[in-house]
Amino acid sequence: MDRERVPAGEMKNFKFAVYWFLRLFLGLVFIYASIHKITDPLGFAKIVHNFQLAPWYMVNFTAIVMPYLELLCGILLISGIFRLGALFTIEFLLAFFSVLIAVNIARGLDFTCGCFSNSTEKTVLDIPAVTLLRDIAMFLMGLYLFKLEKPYFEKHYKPVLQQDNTARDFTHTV
Amino acid sequence: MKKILAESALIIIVSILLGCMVNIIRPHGIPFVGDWRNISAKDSENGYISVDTAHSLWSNRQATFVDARSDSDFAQGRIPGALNIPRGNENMYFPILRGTTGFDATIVVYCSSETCDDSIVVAEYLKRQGYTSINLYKGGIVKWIEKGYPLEK
Repeated sequence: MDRERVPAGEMKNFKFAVYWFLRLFLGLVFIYASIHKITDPLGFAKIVHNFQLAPWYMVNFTAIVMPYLELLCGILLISGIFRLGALFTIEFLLAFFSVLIAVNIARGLDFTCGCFSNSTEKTVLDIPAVTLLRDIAMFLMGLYLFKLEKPYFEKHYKPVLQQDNTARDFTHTV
Repeated sequence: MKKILAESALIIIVSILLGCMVNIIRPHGIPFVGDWRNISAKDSENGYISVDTAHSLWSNRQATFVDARSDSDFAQGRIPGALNIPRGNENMYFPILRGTTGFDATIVVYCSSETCDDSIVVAEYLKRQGYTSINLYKGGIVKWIEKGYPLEK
């Protein structure tokens, strides 16, 4: 597995610090968010049901799988293994939930996010609009992280054009 | 881009396998398909009782109370003496009720509040199992607490 560090020469020190902050922050948020869902799958299933996220026959399956998806993405993003795939999945989840929350707000649905707790009692952080803003903010963080990963992406994921404009087979480690 | 999508797909597949495997192995795994179909209150054939009637039945020990909330909510506070049969996991918790009551016992089912329909679903489940005297206490634990009635933790 390729866990190559981004060479310090490719970006300035500040950007490097921002890069690592974003990677650790997003990774740890997703790991933390998965814990209560793993320990109380039935409680999370109730949240999924109230969210009207899935048809009734898919509620339990969603509640069983989603926490492990979050946990795995968080671990992979931090460790660097398949980190672009993990980041892409995180971005997809954040975009999906942002749209879902926005739709539910527009429908006037009373729901709790269930992001960091299975309790149906609401705190300030569970107000749907606050949840939406939080998810959009994390989505934007992920987009910027993708931008910072561009050198790594171009080196390992894209074919490099030689001077005669012939595409060279790109080499990458699995 | 294809490689990123491939990595993402692999992560999703591993998550599905991991989630399913852990759910099968763990002692309190949930069914892969739960009955979350919404049941309207007016479709219920069970009778509704008020918080005062529920309290009367409780204080006179004339009914067995069933809490339809999740086990974590149940642990945080419940009507004293209530048994927990969480919606979606009825099969696992039902034997405890069955072991202590006959089918002609008076059952009172509740959940968190008036807007919660978990109690209706669990009541329907108990009816299918053969219980003949099921009452729905609609106010839930919220109304019980508002009235200052005792709570067990």
